[in-house]
Amino acid sequence: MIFESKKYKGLLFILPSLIGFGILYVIPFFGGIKYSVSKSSFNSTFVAFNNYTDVFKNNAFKIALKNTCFFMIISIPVLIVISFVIALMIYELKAPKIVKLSIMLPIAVPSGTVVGFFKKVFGFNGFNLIDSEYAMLVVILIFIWKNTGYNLIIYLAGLSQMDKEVIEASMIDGANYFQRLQYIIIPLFTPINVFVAIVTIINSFKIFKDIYMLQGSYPNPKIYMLQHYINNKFNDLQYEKLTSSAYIFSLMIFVVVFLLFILDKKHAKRVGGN
Amino acid sequence: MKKLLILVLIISIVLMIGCTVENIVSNSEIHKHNEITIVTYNDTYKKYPVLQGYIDKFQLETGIKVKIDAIEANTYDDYIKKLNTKLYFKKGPTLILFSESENYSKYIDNGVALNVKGRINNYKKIYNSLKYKDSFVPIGMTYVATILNKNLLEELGMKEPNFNWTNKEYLHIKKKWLEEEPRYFNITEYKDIVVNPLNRLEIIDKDKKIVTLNNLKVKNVIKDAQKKIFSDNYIINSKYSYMDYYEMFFDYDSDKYLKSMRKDYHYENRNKVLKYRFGINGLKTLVTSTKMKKENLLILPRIDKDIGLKTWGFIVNKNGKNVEIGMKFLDGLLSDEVQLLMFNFSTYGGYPVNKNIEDKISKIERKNNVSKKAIELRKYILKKIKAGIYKPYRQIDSVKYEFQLMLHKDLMKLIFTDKLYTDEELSMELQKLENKYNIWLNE
Amino acid sequence: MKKLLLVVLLIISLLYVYPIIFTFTSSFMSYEEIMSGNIHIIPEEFNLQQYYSIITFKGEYFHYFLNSIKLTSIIIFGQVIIGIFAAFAFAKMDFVARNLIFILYILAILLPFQVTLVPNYLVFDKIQRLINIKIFDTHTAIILPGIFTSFGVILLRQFIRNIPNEIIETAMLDGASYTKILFKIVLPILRPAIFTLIILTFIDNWNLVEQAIIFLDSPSKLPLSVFLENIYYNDFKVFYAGAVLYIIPSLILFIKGEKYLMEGLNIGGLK
Repeated sequence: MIFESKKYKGLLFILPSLIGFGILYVIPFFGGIKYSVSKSSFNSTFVAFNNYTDVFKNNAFKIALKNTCFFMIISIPVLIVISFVIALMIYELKAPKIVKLSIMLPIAVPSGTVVGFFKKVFGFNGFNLIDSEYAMLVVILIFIWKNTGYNLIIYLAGLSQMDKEVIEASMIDGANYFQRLQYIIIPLFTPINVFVAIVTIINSFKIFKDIYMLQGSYPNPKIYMLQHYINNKFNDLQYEKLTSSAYIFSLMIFVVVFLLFILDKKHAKRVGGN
Repeated sequence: MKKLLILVLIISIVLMIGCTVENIVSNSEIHKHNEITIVTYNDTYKKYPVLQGYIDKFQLETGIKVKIDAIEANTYDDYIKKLNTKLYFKKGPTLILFSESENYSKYIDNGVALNVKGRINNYKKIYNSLKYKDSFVPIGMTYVATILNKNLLEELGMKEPNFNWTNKEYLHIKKKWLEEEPRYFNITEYKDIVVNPLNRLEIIDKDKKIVTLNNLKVKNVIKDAQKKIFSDNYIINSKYSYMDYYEMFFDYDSDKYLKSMRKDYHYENRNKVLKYRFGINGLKTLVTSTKMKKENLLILPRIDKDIGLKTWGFIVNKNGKNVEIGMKFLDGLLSDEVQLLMFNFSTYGGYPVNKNIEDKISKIERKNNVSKKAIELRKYILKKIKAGIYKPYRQIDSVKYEFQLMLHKDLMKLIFTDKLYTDEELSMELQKLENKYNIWLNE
Repeated sequence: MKKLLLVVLLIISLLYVYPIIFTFTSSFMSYEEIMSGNIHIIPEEFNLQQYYSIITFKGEYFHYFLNSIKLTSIIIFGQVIIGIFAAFAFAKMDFVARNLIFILYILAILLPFQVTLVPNYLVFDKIQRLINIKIFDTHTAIILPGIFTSFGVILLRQFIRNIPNEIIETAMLDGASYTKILFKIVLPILRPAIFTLIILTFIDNWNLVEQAIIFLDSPSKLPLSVFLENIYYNDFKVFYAGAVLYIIPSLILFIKGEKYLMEGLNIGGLK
């Protein structure tokens, strides 16, 4: 590789970001771990993994974890596919501006309006789904409605940055659209897909706000999420339980993200990066 | 070129940060040595004139600044979040103010509060029933007594109940009252019909951490309530749905609430109401005495013994700054003269928690010609407090009362339903609620 | 086929925009009409009551509006500048512990914010003591974490990764420095990505509520999002008008930014 002589140059480039990020994110990240192995929020006696085992035994946590995983496993892939397909359609059909704006707008809407509307449609006076077994459906719907635009923006930028020569070349080769999609466009999109996946995971935490405004701290057990547990633990001053549950959850997410990262690296090798 | 760019970058960062730092403050302003901070929710502290007066005096006499950190929050939940964050501070707020409607027990149970026993001189003068783990410092108390319409009792030809009255007696009077003519349905009636019977059932078992809701007893309360509410005894707006009732009971800004208030004793319907929606602090004889005389009211201790008594006061933050000064501040608030002042303030602030000034209070009562009946009531309540029968349960045992409130709000949906539930459907709905509460209890 | 797909797309977009139309028309309804439970989209009579009370009785609305504008614009500016450099380094330069640091960048933003809230609070307190500047209850407390979040770095890195190395290698052989490559070659290609970052950062920070609630004490410093929530909880009657005004800046940004989003320089054109 030709860049090797300048091995420390890169550090200079990331330095401003690294300093700020280190102080504001990395230190708190490890600071949180300290709480998770303390006896209580206001008693820093070391108790090793007691809080972790306590949290694992807790019924509410189990329900929350189950619901959150269920929600994420269903809604994240669905959202990614939907937003990718819509982005492709908009790009290929050169859709009018109004279409793009309509799909993007929900991300700009404050939680209160969403709640106002969905409460009327799915709440007590409407279909009354939010109190039923199928409450999760409403949550997934709100999530997809709210976040398609977010991913769409990223995908549209990705599409416009695409190397069109490669695509044109494949057209000459006689590949049909779906072959092109499968062998050229989607592989080219790996880094962006990885980013979209990360962002969607982050945004999936934010659905808590909408559920909270719909149903408060203790919603229908079908949509009781980990964020509810975390939020309530914060209000109850049990920071040790909060942090340990969050780290358990983050570990699970991290496994997924690590797989994404490996995918990303593989892609880089294929396009000849480092 | 490269170096220049990086330089520009760094300068721009510095500038950006610089222009947003509203004020660069000196060392002394960040950690003040002569200051205590009191945290309150919005401006609750303004409810207590005695506190405001005392703060001015304290600042003048000692030269120590008392800073009130009134956290303005959109919801109480937001306030709790903010307050909790401040508590993790190494040198956080000194004192936290809790009004009568707030629960302090979780702060004490989780080790936020300092144990003040032996550290505040006047603490031993407080009625024992009002203390909690020697960590809560009550300043004033309120006993919400029940007000009955004496004129109406006479009209109905009923005997006046005495202080030891029972639920049975009350129901008897009420039956007579309802027979007379249809009455407006409101939250007082709802409480009598639904809330009180439910509270008497043992739904929550805190030790075993179990809520049992889906059973015959609860179902019977619901069915019985529906029968009673939708009978000829009450004037009901037939268009009202569950949401309307919810607003009428709990949404204090809504038209429905105001409308129901108007129908209540405040305005047109005043003479026809048996039990008033809002009680009165039975300990403040200067107020109760005039009320009894002027408006011909009957003021009695509550039938539900556990929820009458409330206190307001402070917690000393273990991690707070200048906690010693904070405790000195509280000591002064508990002193005989400040406490006595509280008795004189007729409206707000509660009744003194200092038990050593009872004689002085009696003297004031004599001077003001307080009626015998009012004094008797005060003494009766104090006796119960001293005996440990009346306690601020609502604030100490927050789990139970939080649960009850949640339950009542949720059950409204089942009671004011458009279509009547079958037995099976009712079971299903109750089971759903039961699951929800079990999550809450086991969190 | 194309026409059919276009119709499908139009129907989809109608579904997405429907709740917003509902918000918009609700803002022209009278108090009574909003409070009545049933769903309807066309106001019984056109009414400016809500806007009128927002403008007159809630004059502070515009004060909060300015607060939000200030916060978001500084955060966007900072994040883009810092993000470009760091992202370029992560994507195309080689240095010690590069992947490890990058994984940390991802990890730290994946934590729910409540976890780092208290440690973050304590870090601010430390900084305050060390360099004698006030952070709590100033906009700095919101701006700093906003600028230094790794979101922008990760986004831009992923986009830069898609730029073939050969372009950069050729430029290097011509003797161009990294900085030059970044500004002359990478940035023009990156234009859509930067606009993406600007729009998304704007959205994230415009809607930011929790951090503001925790870190700001003085009501006058709060952003619009918190004030709107206050209206939601305490003055629902005028909420819809408030929400419409709240959406407008995002709408303008979408309309203006959307064309830059699609008009990136083609990578192929550079070869």
